[in-house]
Amino acid sequence: MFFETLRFELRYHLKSRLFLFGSLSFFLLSFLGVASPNVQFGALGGANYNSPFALTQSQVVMAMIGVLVGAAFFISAALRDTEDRMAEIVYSTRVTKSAYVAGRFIGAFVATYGIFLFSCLGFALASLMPWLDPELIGPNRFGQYVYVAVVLGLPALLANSVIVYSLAVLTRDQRIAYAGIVGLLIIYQVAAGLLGEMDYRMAAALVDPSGIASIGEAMQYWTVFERNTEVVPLEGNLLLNRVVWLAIAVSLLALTVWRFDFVLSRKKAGKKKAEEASVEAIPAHVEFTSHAVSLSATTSWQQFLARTRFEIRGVVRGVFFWVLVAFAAALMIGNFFAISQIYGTTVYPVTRALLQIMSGTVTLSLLIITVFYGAELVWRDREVRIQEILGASPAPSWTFVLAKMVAALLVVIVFLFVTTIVAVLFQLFNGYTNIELGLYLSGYFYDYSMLFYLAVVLSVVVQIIVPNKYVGMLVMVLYILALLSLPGAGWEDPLYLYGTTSSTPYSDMNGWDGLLGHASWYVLYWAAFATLMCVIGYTLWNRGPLEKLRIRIRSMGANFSAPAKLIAGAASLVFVATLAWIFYNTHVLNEYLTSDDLRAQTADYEKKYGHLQGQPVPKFTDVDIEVDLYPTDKAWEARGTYLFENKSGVEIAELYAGFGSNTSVDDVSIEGASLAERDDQFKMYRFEFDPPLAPGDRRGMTFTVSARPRGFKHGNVIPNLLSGGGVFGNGTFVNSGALAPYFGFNQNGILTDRNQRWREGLEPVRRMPDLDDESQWTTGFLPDADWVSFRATVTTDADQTAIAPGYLIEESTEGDRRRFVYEMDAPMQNFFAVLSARYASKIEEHNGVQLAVFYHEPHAWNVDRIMQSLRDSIDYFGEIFGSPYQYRQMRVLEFPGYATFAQSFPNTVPWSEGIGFIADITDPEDIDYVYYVGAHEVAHQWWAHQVSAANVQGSTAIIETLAQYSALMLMEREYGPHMMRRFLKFELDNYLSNRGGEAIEELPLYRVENQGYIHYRKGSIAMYALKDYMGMDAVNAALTQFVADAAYRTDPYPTSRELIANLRAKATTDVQQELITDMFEKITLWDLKIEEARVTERDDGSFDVEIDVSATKFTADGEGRQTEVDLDMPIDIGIFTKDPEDVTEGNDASHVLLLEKQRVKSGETTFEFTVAERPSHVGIDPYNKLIDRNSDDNLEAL
Amino acid sequence: MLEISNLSKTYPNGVRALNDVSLTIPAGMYGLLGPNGAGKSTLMRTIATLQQPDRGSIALDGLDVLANPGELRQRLGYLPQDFGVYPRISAIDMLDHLAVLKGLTDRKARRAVVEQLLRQTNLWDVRKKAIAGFSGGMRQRFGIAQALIGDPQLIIVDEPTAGLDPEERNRFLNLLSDIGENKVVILSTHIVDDVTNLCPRMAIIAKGQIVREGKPSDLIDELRGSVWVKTVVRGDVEAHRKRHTVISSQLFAGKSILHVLSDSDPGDDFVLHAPNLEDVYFATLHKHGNDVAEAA
Repeated sequence: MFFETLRFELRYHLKSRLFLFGSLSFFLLSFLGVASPNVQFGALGGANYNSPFALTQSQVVMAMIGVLVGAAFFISAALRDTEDRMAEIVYSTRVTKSAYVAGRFIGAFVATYGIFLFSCLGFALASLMPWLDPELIGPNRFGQYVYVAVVLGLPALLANSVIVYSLAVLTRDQRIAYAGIVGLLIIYQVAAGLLGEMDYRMAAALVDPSGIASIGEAMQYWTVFERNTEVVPLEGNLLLNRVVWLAIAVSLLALTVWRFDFVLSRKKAGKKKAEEASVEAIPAHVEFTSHAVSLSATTSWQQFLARTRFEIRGVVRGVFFWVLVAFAAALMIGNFFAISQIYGTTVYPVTRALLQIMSGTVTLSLLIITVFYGAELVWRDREVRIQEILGASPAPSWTFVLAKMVAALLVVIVFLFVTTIVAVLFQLFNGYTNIELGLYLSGYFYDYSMLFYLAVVLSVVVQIIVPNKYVGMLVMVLYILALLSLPGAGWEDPLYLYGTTSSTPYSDMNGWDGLLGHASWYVLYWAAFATLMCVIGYTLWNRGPLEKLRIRIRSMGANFSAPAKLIAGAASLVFVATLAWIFYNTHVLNEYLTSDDLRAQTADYEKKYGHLQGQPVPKFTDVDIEVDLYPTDKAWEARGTYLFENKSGVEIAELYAGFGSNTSVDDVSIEGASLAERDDQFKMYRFEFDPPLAPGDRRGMTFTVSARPRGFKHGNVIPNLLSGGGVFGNGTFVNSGALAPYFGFNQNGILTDRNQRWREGLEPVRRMPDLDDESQWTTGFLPDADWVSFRATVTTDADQTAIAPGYLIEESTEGDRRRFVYEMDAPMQNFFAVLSARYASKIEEHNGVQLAVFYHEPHAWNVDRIMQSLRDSIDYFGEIFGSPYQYRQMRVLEFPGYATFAQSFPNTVPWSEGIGFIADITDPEDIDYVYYVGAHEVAHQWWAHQVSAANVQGSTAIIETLAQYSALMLMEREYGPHMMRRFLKFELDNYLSNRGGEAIEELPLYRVENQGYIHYRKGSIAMYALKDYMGMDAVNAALTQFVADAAYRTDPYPTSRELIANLRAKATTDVQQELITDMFEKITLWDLKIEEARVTERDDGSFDVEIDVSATKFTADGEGRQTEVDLDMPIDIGIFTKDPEDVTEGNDASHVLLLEKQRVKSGETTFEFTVAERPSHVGIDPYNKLIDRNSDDNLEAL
Repeated sequence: MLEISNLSKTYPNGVRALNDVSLTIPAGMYGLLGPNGAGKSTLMRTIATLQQPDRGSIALDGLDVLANPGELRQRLGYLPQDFGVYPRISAIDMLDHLAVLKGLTDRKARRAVVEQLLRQTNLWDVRKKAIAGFSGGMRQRFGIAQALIGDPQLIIVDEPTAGLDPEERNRFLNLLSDIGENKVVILSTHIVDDVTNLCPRMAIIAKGQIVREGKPSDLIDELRGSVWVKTVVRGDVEAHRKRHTVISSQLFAGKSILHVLSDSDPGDDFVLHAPNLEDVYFATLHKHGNDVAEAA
């Protein structure tokens, strides 16, 4: 009987069109995930396209979405008998409960799993495609496919399937089953979100039935080598997840069998009671009195209102809508609590930050609303069979169609409204009262939601046209997929991506800055289009039984009433006019460039000028620039008078001067040289010297360059703030990359991504010259300048303050323009930025240095803290590095949060509004990264602006790693050594997580090629460990010597070898020397673990503690292939009376019973101690000073 | 008066639902009798402007219905064969809503009308209950209540008694009989008794065509003297079919009562039967090739 049911069920689904469609789409999706660069299931880093890592990543996602397709099978298996009114027949047969319930489930499950297997097949076939870079294709191992399909895919699909099926069987309501799927998706999202939070990874791994989070957790620290060779072993949290969820699945299925019974729905039985009333006879004769119908002009309007009310009531009275709202709200609040976390510290709930989270978390719910309620609203009347009664009423057709449109929009608006209330309540509960309702309206209800308004209208129109609602829902899903995938494939013009607009980044400082206005043209354009669609939907509406589309099209003409014609005419007019206007702006006034075009352009630049790399160029020595900023027009003009000198030692006959890409070079001339060739596309200007420029010759150069945006353009509306920046209404941040020329080839202007280079036909590139390439030792991080003199004259609007590096020596206001002259009295890097905004400021004097913070008035929270950080940094670094701060002034300037970084220019630090100004550091448990970022940036005044570095590998090990070290030392002084663990754990986690994302090769710290995870994250740990093993005084003495030797030196520039030599000179023991080797010159990893700890109380009240530890040490190559090496070094052993995790007072050591270095060797070692109090925790390297791949088992609670 | 001329409709799947239908329907109750699938509902929907015919015309008191569907709907009350309602909506809310759609926009007047209709259909006591929980009879009464909103000139009730138990059916027919006599009321049904009890005029439709039309009494009179009856054991039915024009065969206490059509005594122990409307119906269907021998 069971097999009979199973066989029937399986055959039923295998023959369905859904199975065919599902298999095909799964095959294709997976195939494209490998074979097309535009479809990706997650970043691969440097791993192969068909690596087991890529296989796992794509197939676990496919298994997850498998339940979406399978849902139709499961719901059909569970409910089709009742829905098709077959239940009474089937239930009365001899089939047993378990055979019926389980047989049907397994039949449907096998079909679903079959679909999933097609996805594995697609992956395998794709890896054989000839157009893929063969370097990135590894061997296909059959066993790994089987493993991924069976061990990773099957249980995930099974757990989700049982949940959906059981919900459908037990509730007999497909809406609840669908809500269950939404729930699963949300759980998956929550788990994926939690995975990013170190403290919640275990929870994330367990909560998600599909196990994606636990698989992600297992792979989080994988290196490229591991990604290419390994599959996630079934152990640890993954095993736990599988056991737990399989147990839940089996029990749930058993429960379902048990609770199921062969009677018709309980609800129906209950209804009988209502019928008992009203059985008495109707009065024998009733006189029907006539009543008049009013048909005034307002009748239709009132009918429309009544319909709208009725439709919207139907939605908001349903459970499903509130399920969606509740899920979205729960997800939002969850994310609010982790709002913009940096080092675990959140920001104040400013509306902008909340909106960012809201738009990230409610999108899924809104998409479901769009697809589901479009169908629901259109088909409900037919499904409940009231369509004919409505159709026979005199209410005109437009009242029905328009009411459905408006109701669909209102559903979205009600959803937005409720989620907004949740957000506002969150702000109020946090004591934040600056509720920017206007921003909620413009940012959430208008900017963010416009796509959904338009999509829901499309959904209604589609549902009117198609013959059944599933086809309509499918069309909508395809539409959403198209929106998601077309831009990546180079089809990115919003003019044909229905509902999309130009991008509209918002900044607290700069507001919308006109960008919302540009987007509104697209809104108008699509709204006109949507109106046209509505008219079409209206003319295709049919009031009676559903007719074939062909027949409805035939009668369109008859429905095309005069007002409909008028509306269609007006909408067409608006549509064509806005189309013309947008096209004029984005294609005529400005060049239409897709991201593919931009990539090709970048490649072309390299192809055309790459040969200039390494050729000698003169170096700028004197910079005098006048910059006019026009914030309202977002325009600027710069006029420069520069001097340069041939320091190369050879004659230079030909020189290329280049400018930023989005500029217009109005004039450029070089003393003693003639302009031989203009290349206005790449802004490269070739000059010929006659006679050639002799070594030591100095010449002058003048130029006028400007940027004047015309209309609005396609693509990135905000220029890259790191490589040029731009002028904004309030918060201009434009740097020398845009304002000033460079000589020779611009090394920053090349594609670095290996895959992108391959697609453009370029050879793989070396990121940096070799550390030992002496020819590069006289080049700093800019090839065309060493140290320069600097003067800048900046004009801006009268109500703004403009700032550039140097000291203010003149300021005047003339009419509506304000003029500032800045001059630097010491040599500085030829690297400057000009900022201008309506700033509030705080200025104070500190030991002869003027400290200033220029900030956006409402962001005053942390100004004092930043000030404190400047003060402490300047004093402390001057003290420990034996070299004072070189300028008389230090300024921090807030800039709009279009990018989130802080950057250190000479005596000037632009600092994004997104990282620190709004950080909430009031909780003493949180890491005060405001203080830390300030310290890091001030430290650059030493590391970069005093000690520069040669343009070779390892340069950032000086500039960034030493800035990290400086900031860490200040943090430790401020917050105490016992708080450092929290910070180091973040650094360690960040380093380990990013190794697998390495696209080329992980290098040891001393050869780092501007790899952030190495020079910042690993750098922090390495320097802190060094300080721990050598003592702070020794390290600081080494650095003091380094500064003394290397400050301002350009011939040669300092290298990491010199840094290491200085450190080694102060390292007195073999252990210290070896640590320098391990941390700087090798990639070294430790695995330290508490195996067991035993405590026994002694008679005198003290405690014996026995600790078994195991220890291993590895070295790794650039791909992450590990080799075990001999370990023999002293390592911290700690015994505590409370969890070091919970420490909030870092100078308080009262919880530390013991913390001392003990000699640890490879393998297991046992230590014995006697301590005065009963310990709660023991640990080996408890503060995570060494690079430990599993830092969680270093500590154990007793 | 409703005039239907030469109405034809063929569905995309090839079914000819209406084949040159012409009818003149005066004020008063009019029965449209036909077996399932004869085209009754298509005809009803077409008159109710819910479907477009391929050919033909319909006029209500001179109004060209096909050209002015909107105006017809203002005078129309329609109870479709199979209708449902939204879940969780009470009778009074639903009726009130439909009243708005019928054009009763004045709230006070509408309330009065709704109350009157609910009382007339004896649903007042359950007005706040969800219609979805109503019994078949209650639901049909609600159906007629909504059809009567707005004092329609043309009322179409399509198979209203199908599935009702005898008591409910009686109650429902009583309700129908109260509808004013100066309106056109079309009652489509496959149950002969409905027409017998209520309709002064009727038509029989089969395979999309009107095959009989007239007053029931006239039609019965036409058959007088030609219907004969005999009770036989079941095994003999086939033999009788071969020898006689059997128009119906009904079971009674395990035996079959055969009605045969014959202008003279068919012999075989048949006795003359005083014909009723049912005989008219079966005889007509038989004549037009419908084998309805085992009808209930």
